[in-house]
Amino acid sequence: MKTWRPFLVLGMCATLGAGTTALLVPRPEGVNILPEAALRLPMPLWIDARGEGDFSRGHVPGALLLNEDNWSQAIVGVLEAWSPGRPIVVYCGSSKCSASHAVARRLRGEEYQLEPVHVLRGGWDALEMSARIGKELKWP
Amino acid sequence: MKRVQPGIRREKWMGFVRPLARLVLTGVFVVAAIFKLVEMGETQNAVESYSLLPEWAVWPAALFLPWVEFVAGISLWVPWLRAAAQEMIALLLVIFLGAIIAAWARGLDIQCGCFGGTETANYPWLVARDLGLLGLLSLSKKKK
Repeated sequence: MKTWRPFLVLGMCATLGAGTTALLVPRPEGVNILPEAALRLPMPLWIDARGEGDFSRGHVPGALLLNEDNWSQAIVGVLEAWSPGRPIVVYCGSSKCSASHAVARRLRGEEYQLEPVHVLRGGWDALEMSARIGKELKWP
Repeated sequence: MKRVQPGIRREKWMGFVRPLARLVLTGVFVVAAIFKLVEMGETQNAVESYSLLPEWAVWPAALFLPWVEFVAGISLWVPWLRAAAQEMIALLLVIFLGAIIAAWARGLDIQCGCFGGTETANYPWLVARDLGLLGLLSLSKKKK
């Protein structure tokens, strides 16, 4: 038996499985999104998952502050501002924080079932960086 | 009384350890694959959170990874595919270790995504676990 044949068989099986999954499962929405793509979304609802201090120093115009600390008060405002189909973009400070993922998971979860909920890739730092290097940033 | 030679005793012992190591590896990889396939959205997020792949490659990687794990895990029990599956698992574990160490070095707060969950990664534990699995893999191999 040629030594490469088992590898070929394994590779073909994995490709077949991945291909079938790709056909059956559409790419999930509400995943991480790049700043440029987020800014092209129609009327997104921006949610700032950082702390109050960071929020007061600067945030996306119109963004709502929502994090684990103020959840019970702030979620009411988020639910009022959101309408079915309106995309939500959650961001935290940078790619090193996970608060945006936690907030997005909770919004998508059983309790609220909001969708689509995106997490901004790179967070606030990525937005600032995009602005600094002159990429088109049209604030909502 | 007849004395059993150490080499024979060792081989007898390994005849029990090897399938056990294979069983654990199959369990780990198949369960990890199933969890990933059930939650493809989280798998995609987890792959993305390592910030190693360009945007266009994240979804294909999230599709392939669980199937490679599944096929390799099952193939450990198919004699003529076993050696290739072991090589594939070794390669996967080295890639995982590299990705984890790279994320750790950059201070990223990643989701491990190892078992499809959304838990934040505990780096020392992940590195130790993957090294343990590599050790288990070497135990499962028959010395030539």
